[in-house]
Amino acid sequence: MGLVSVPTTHRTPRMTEPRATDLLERLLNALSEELPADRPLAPPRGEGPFLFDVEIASMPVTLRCDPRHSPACLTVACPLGPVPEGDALAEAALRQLLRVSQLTAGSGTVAGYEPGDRRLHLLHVVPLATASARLLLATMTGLAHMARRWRDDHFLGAAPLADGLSASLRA
Amino acid sequence: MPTPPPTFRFATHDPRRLLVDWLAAMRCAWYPVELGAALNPSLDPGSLLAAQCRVGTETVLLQHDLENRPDHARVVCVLGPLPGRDPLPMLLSLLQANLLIALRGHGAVLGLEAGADAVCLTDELSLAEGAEAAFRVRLRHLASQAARWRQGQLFPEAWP
Repeated sequence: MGLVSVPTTHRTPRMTEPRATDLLERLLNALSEELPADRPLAPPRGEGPFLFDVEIASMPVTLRCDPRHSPACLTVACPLGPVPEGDALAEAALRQLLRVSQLTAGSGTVAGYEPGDRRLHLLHVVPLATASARLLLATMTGLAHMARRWRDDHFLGAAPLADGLSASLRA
Repeated sequence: MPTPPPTFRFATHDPRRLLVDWLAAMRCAWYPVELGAALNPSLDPGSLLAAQCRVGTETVLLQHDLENRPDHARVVCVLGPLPGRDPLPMLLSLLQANLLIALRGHGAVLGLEAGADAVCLTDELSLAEGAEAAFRVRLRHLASQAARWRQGQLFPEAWP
């Protein structure tokens, strides 16, 4: 696939900078206190990718982080569902998702498609260095509300898109 | 009356100045999109600077907001229209690329500009001190994607 590659800058962390695994562990510990008590967050083991599934506002949300990547980031993912059936509806819905992605570019939120499970997802990338538990929880909740709205009308309803988006992100 | 001694001040970080200087060093011509905005940053074009910027043979849209993430410049590269016939595979390819980019922790986004119905590649470039080399590489890379799109080299399997 002719993917739009993004040039990366590899650099060695300075001695004073906390390691990505330490940042992640600190963030997850803080997030544990914000989440319901029945969903404790196990700290990541080793340097491998970290995955955690949780339900927010009745929607599944996944946290994913690979501390080996630079810059170290946490990705929040919320499944929207399969591509709508019927070519006309699918095209309209996918176009709308890409318009949403353009509107939210720079905010960290983007819509994506996973060919493995043939599902669409909303994703939000949070740099570990600046992430806080409260912000992360607000992001997870915002994505869950956006995903719920997608399931209602694929963002094709009468409500102005920008208003609906900002309301979802505020929720 | 004695003149007070001059007060020494450290130079403050000025990301707008860095942006303009880096573009000049790259020999990238730019002009504000909005009439009335000043070409000279010392004349204060206001909080938001939106400019068309020539990078090589391509033109990108630059946005820099002093009040919102002033240490970053937003760059929008308009790739071009979707395939006229059967755009569904391309729409899926664009969304698949967004997922891969996000999972790698990058901020670049492929989207659709509503007005022109054109595919855009948007990214935010750091204006931190010492980030000039990365800025140069990424700005040229972003601009080069428009030519690749026109030549059908981006997502070749999705073109009908």
